[in-house]
Amino acid sequence: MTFLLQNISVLRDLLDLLLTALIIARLSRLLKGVLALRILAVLSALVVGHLLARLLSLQTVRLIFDTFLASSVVVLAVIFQTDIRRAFAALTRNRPEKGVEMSDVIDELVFAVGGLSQKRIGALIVIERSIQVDNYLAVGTEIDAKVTSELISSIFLPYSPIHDGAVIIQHGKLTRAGCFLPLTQNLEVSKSLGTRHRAAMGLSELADAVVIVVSEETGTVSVMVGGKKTDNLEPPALGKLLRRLVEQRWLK
Amino acid sequence: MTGVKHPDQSAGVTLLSLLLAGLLWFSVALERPSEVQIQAQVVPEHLPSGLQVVSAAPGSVEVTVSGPRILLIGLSLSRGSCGLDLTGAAAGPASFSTNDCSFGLNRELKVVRVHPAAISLTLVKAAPR
Repeated sequence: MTFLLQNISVLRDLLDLLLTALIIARLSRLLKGVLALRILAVLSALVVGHLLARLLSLQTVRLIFDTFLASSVVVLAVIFQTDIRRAFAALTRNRPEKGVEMSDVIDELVFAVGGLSQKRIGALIVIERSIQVDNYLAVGTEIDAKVTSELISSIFLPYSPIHDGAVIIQHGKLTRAGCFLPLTQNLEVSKSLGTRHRAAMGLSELADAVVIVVSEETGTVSVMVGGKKTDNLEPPALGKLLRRLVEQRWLK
Repeated sequence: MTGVKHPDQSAGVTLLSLLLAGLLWFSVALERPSEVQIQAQVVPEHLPSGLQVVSAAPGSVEVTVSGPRILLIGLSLSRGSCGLDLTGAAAGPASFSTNDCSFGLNRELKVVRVHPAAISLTLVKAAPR
């Protein structure tokens, strides 16, 4: 106890340092690898510059470094607004409740996707979660209908005028079809990935939506969330994954 | 899955995060107020014309300065001076308060005390050439 009281300032400093490191490490995980390295290096250089300018009493140089450091928070927030928004969405997302009844919407989706996959009919289905996807959609036909496997299957049939685009599900209703989605700008994505998959990935990078893709070439089903792809999903696995990713409140 | 980070990148990000945290903490810690004692060379200034100092050289004074640690580190690295203003001094022995010295310090630094508090000098009229 005496030791603690004697060294309270040292312990406080250690706690301060550890918490600062933890906060920065957590924040840097929101960014992509190479970018995070560059940003952290630049910020470190700015802090070193500030310290040197302060030590040597170089007032103008210090002003420049301080201005860059102060504005870096705003600049980073603007550049990484999408990542920040996604991170906040992930933070506010509750863990799925156990024993939640399988929703009709997911059942219908799994059934429709299974059928399309068997027939090798390409499909792109977006399930909106906490972030609205409206701002990222181009074109599209408003529908506002109950989600049924028959409706989804008929939309994606090759002779349908709105088959070439994405179907949007918002609050458990099929609200739009034939929508064009933004393509991913991620250079690390495999070149073998087609436009439908690139569009799915592009939207999943910008919003927290769950995007289901059925490949026209292979009939395989993939799910994309947060710029990450899960491949080769069989109907039972797809249902299980969707029930884990999509909470009841987003279907109401 | 795509977009998986390379292990080296993750280690690099962690290391740089720790470095940045350390630097930030260091820059904050260095702004904490502290005190330091420095030796400042006494330099008589503004000696009235026709007078000269005949007593022993005043040498140096011990100055206690307070302010942000980072500025005190810079101060410790440089040699301080105590500019003793002799304006208005007359011939004969006189005592000058070292508190009136100009130390040429950064505006954020403050002189807490100076030892000795006064310096005695003897001034005489210089012989005309």
